Amino acid sequence: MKVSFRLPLRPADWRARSFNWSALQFWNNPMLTKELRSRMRGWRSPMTVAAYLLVLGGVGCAYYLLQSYQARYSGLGPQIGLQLFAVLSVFQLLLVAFITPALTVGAISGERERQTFDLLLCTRLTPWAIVFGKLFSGTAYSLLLLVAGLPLLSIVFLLGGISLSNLALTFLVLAMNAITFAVIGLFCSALFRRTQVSTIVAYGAVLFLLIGASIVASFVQSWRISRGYGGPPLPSVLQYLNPLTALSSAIMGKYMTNFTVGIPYLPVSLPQLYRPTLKFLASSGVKVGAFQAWLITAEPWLIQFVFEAILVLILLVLTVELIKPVRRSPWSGVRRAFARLPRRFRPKGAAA
Amino acid sequence: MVHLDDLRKGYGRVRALDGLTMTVPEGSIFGFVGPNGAGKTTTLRILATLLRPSGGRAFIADEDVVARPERVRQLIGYMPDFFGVYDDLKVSEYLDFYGQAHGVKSGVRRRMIGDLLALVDLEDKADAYVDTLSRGMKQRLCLARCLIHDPTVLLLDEPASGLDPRARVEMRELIKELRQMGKTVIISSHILAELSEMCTEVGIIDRGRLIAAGPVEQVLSGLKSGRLIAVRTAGRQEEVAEALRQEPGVRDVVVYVDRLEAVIDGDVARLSEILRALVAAGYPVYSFGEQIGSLEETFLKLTGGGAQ
Repeated sequence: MKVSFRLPLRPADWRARSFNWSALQFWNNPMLTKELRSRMRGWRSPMTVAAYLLVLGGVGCAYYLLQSYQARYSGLGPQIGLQLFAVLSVFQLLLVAFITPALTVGAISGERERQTFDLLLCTRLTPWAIVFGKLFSGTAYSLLLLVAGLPLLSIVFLLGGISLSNLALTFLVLAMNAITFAVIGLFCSALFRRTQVSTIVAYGAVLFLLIGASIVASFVQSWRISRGYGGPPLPSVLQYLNPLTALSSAIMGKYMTNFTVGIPYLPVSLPQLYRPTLKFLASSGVKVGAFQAWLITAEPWLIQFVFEAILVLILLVLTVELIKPVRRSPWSGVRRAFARLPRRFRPKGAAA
Repeated sequence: MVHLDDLRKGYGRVRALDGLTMTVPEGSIFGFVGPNGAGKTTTLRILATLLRPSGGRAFIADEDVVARPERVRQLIGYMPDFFGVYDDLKVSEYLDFYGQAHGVKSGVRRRMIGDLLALVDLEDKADAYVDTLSRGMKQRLCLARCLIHDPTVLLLDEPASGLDPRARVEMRELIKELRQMGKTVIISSHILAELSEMCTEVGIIDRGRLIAAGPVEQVLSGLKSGRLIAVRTAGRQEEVAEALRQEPGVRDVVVYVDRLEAVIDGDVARLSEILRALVAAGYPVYSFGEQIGSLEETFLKLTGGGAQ
């Protein structure tokens, strides 16, 4: 049975634009088969997994030994399990942020550079199938790394302090971020003609999510204060773009409200910071919008999940539009705008 | 089988195709000839659904290439002038991938790959990595790739470019074999002689327009029957050119600094009549002779591509 939903782009041609799930060729995607085949061929992939686990294990061991040494007279505190888990998770996030974009930044631009892309477009593969195959093969490899890291992470169960739901939630956050990083890479590779440019922009975007967004958020905060705002800090959307925010809420889970000390590298837990805000604002008669209230009350990992899902969907639709060769689409305006970009930054398909 | 109707394509201010109209009959090998930049690749890319024409329409087996690209892609096999291969795949996997991408069922695919590798003489390379193949082998592999979904129309853009003479001959034999398989083949080249040996039809394109088309013999004899005459005069060149144009049988006159060149239909008697007429009219003609050149030179003269 064909299941389809319609993208509400332009009412006039909804019928023509109905989205066809079979276009993804989910179960039998030649692009995916080919990508996975050539990716897993040779020694590079197994070696990467091995190196990934070695680094992760090394960091875990080093942290544990360091803590044991520091606490050689007092004995390890009860938080050691949680702390180790946090260190390993954050490190995994950084590794994923480092590795995942590299798997997709050349997906489209590389095909263009190798002059194989035209041949692909001439086949029955739909742009959705091409994008999906490229994305899934890239993400699958990141997920492989994450899954390979799971046994290492579960060492913390020996030390206690972490529940299975924490582990599951952390894995979800890491996986969602891996998908987001892969989609960012894929979009850049469709947008830019050269893999070099695509790589720089994709890593720039990932770096912005990891660091830049929080910096901008704190600028916004101090700007507010300089304008005379004296109340408790208000949450900014930008803070939730940071994967570390989501990660910290996933790791700490229900401990969030009564456990704040000793988690290295994590930003201050936001709901704890902002929840009193709501009460304060309500008591002082300030109206809080529904969106603001949601930012304050919802779990950060959930907020980030929603944001990233929206970002991923938008970028995927744009990517598909960028690689379509002939059809005129509602995005032709976007393409024309890209065509006005300096030539070396312009995607090849967009000029036509 | 393939029909172009007033096809136009502009890149900015440059007109790559300027109202190209032509028809390629079914089962023919159509040679698409023109100097570099004449619009051959643009035409083939439009037919391959990779480029959107700015105007006009193009049909393959009555399917509009713009309106129904999905249908058209199943009907055509396209071989671009420059193409790459995936270096981490084996030859059989390479063909298998494109077969799968065209939706060919796995059983059919396996049989097809064997047949095609035999056709392009790469059977012993089935397990070799694609990037270890020579240029000629890659070219043949690419031709096999075009055929994997059994298309009815093949669009080959300069398939012999960059090949050594031996590989060229092999490619030519292959294309002749394709005709026996009942395919319609459009093959582009900027060398007329190369195509005239294997094509049944020829179309000559220049600056985005078709200037001659039809069965090979007809087009070639059309080119041949016109005699290229160089006329040298002591001054009054423009007047002589005008007088020549008035003469029956004179197709085209081009004025150069030191001479006139005219393409004239007719036998030697006609030539002598024209010469007599010029002299009788008092023009200072001191030289009047037929230019013996190769077919290609004639062609280049006609299209203005290689003149001086």
